[in-house]
Amino acid sequence: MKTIFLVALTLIVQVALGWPESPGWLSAILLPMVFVVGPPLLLEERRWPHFALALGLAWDLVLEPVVGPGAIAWSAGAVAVSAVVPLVADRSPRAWLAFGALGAAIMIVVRNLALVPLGLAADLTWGYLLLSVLLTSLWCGLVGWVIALDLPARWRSHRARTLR
Amino acid sequence: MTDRRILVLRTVLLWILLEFLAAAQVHTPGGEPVLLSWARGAVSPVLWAGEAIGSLVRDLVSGISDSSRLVVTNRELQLELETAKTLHRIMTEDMAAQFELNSLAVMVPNLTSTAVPARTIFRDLTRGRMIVLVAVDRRISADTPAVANGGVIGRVIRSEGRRSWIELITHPVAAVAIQTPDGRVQGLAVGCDTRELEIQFIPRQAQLLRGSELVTSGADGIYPPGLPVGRVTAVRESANAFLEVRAEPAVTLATTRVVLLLDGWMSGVHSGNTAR
Repeated sequence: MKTIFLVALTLIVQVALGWPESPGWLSAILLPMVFVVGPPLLLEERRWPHFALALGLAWDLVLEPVVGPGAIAWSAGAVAVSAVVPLVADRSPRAWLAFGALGAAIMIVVRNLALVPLGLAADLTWGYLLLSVLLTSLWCGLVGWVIALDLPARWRSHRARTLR
Repeated sequence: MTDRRILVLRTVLLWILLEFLAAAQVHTPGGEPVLLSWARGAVSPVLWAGEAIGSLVRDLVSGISDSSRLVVTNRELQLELETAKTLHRIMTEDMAAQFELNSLAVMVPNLTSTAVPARTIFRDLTRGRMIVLVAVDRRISADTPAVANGGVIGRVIRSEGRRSWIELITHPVAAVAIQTPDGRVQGLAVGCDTRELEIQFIPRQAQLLRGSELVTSGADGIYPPGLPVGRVTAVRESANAFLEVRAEPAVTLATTRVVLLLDGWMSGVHSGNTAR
């Protein structure tokens, strides 16, 4: 339930990032990528591609003109990340950053490929691809850093010290 | 198959379904769903192939039908060609017979009006027999002389309808009274072989040489005088009072096509004598 709430919140923020008054580069950040990168890094469950599929359907419903390509793209990113994560022992924020970049690149490319047969593909530029990959990886790295900080544990120890 | 591969396979299948789902939502500029255009694009090669195969089968059937018609036509043409060849052979034969008949007419200058031309329809040189077919239904008298291009060939021994049986001069019992053209030597030509005549009763002192021509003398009362009979091929002395003489017939019996039956020549002679 918490995950669904977080996903919904992320999508709402994603829509907000694309607000016409906001800077154009903000919409290049793929906020839900943390739900693709996080589970393989934190858990052993291997069903995350299906979760990413549901995430993509939600993405399509909210942000895309047709339902389908987004689901394909997000699940493709999840498959790629979940295939590479077991090969790497690192679970630090750097891993979040790297896998976020990988997932973002694959998601963007596959989404365009899925739109080509439908005649809806927009021109994908290297600039937009690099910008989106960079910003998304930074976003994932930030989330990984925050998780690595383990703020609840720090808060509990701080409370314990002050109560003493 | 590992769980990961199964997972990837399922995911790929889901991707395909999702792509179809997206294609069902998007429309072409013509207003047709993209999915429908995909389906048409996927089916059109099959339809094209079916149409091509149908066309091929139709052409094949048409080709076989045309070929069979050509075979039938070819057979009919071959038949017509064979018929034409046969007609040509018959006409050639008739023409040769006509030439032979013309030669015969020249050979027998005093041809009587009762002489009958006839075509050879059967010949057996071993037995000395020949069957001829006359052009008109007329009974030919027995002992009527038969001449061909070159000379005498025999006499009629039987006549029935348009057919007449001829005993050739080479028949063992046939005999023709002969003489040399100048009439100095006279004898009797008797059949002895398929291709030879034996000339009997030629005196020892007779001047008869190899190559001498022999003609009918008319002494037998059957053949008119002066018709060629043969040519001497061998003259030998013998133990008796006569020479042993052999001659070959003047007519090539094996290739004779047309004969002339001198029916009534004797009556013509008699009427001539009576008139005189």
